[in-house]
Amino acid sequence: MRLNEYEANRIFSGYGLPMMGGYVIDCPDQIADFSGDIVLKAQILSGGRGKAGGIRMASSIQQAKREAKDLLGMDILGHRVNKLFVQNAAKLIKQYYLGYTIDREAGRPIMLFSDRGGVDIEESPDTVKVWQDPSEGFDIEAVSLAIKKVEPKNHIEICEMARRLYDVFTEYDAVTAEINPLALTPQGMMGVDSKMVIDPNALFRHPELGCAEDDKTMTRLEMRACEMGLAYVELEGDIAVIGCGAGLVMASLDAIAEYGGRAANFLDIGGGASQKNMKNAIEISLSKPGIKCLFINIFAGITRCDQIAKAIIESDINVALAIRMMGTNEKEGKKMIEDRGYDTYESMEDAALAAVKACEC
Amino acid sequence: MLIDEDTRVVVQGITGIQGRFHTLSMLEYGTKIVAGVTPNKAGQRVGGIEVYNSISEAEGDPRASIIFVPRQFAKDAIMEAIDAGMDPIIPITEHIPVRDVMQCISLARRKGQRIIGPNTPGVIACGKCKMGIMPNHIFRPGNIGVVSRSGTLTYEVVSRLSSMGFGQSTVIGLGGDPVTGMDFESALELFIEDPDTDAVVMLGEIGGSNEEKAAKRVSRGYDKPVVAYIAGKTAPRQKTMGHAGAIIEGSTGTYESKKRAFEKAKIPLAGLPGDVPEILESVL
Repeated sequence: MRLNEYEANRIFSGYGLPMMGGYVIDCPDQIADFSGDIVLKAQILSGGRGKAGGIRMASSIQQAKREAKDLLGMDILGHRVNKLFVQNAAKLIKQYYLGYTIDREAGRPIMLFSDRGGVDIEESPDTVKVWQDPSEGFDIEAVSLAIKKVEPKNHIEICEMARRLYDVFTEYDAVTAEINPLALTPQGMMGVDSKMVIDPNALFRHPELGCAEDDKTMTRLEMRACEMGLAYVELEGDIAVIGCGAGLVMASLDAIAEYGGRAANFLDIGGGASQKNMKNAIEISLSKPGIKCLFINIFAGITRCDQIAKAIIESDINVALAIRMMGTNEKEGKKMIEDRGYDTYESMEDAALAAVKACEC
Repeated sequence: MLIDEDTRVVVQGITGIQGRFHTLSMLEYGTKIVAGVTPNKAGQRVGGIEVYNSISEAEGDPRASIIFVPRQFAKDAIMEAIDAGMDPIIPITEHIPVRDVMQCISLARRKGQRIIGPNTPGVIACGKCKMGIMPNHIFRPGNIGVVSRSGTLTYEVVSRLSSMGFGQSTVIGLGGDPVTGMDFESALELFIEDPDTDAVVMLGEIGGSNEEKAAKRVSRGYDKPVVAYIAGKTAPRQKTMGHAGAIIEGSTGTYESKKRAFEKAKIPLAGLPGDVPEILESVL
């Protein structure tokens, strides 16, 4: 779950990282008197906001209020701007990137540092990379050695920041924690922009950050599904898809695309889903406007086909149906569905094809 | 390889709903379960299996562990299994924080023990031993090794292989998390050494670069045919597709990148799961 810039800024400051301070506003009148230039930054959970016009400079209070009025309520990269983070503008003598993420293949946290800013940080050959052992403490020697090579002048200060940022990264169960840019200013090293993404599976250890369904990058339907414990991703087509198991649902989407159709969503009800889970899944997937067909693909291990069938016949479905059902209590499930007048298919490919055809007529 | 009819298994979290259900199913398959563990539940029995408070108290000399404990306690359970020298250690539990997973894997590696998972359906040595949650009836003993990042996709492909006469040697679920103990490459190393395996089916999905790493291993020379399917050709960027690990981040983890890697390694790639048996037939 991604945090807002201002939230990450406060957390970093709390760990003694020298961050450029600021305050949050949701209305232009909240801008305080100021001396010197200020920066107004749209608090949206998306990269590339600078290029999209989400960061403005102002050198007078009138101008600041004008810019704030313009930004608040604006749509940037599909996100509505509700809050601005207001900071004093500083002179950035030199810009760096400092961050941690998880190297999935190594199974370790990795520190990334660059004295050329943060563009293509992971791919750039100039990026300093230091892996940390997750079952040991912070390896200050390795970090110090690596940073000294590219930044001999300020390396002690940067190493201290790297150590503190690692504490934030681990203690908050982050999967990304970055300061970009980290800048050399006339006042010394300063963190200007901050980004933090928390492992959603660890939110139970950080109740103050909210829960998984608070993730503002989700659509309204995705949030509702998340509350119900369903893994739902909204897409752009007209065939609603429900299945059990992430891999099988992805394969179902692939099959639809293979036959020239367009899936409206990904929806995994998980293993051992109950009748209620399935009813919720049908309700969520059909709430999206423009659905022409519902494709259900169940390979039941600990799930029971009869429970799935019950949920289907008890739901209010007024679109075409393509159902493939296999596994535990398959006979009972199929009979219930066929008695209701719906067809079932033996293979997921046949059902996907039927779903695509149903949308064509 | 990994497990067989002589593997003495302990079930951690045996008294929970999942632990109980799957213990019975594993016993039915013939798995040699020698003990169960749940703290403070010593003296109970599940399917005739004695429950102990810890692995160190357990009798029957267990050597491998399957774990069903809730994610809040999963790290402690895995650490206990590492301490007790279990190998392999198979955590079935989903949604364990990645920091806990990394700590466990790092420690297990240092001690030379293997973790398979977490968030895995487990491992099955067909006809010999099941340490997992997969439905028993879809497997047929045979000479095809299967390794996968997804549970139900494995069942889908295995049931088709079985119905077309391709039995399986060992089927390994790597797990759907971003960080897992075993990866495709290490599974391929096991299959190449396994006299019971003549060909390998790899079932991958978008996210990470585990498939690319395995493709490089095959490029360096691999004596058995490998056939693959990758789920998620149409998945959008930056969205978690059910599995925590199935996410395209930046330019990493795309279908195209994996497809290119497999083409380079001359690994035939099935367009849909149903195409796997036919492709397998053509390479055998």
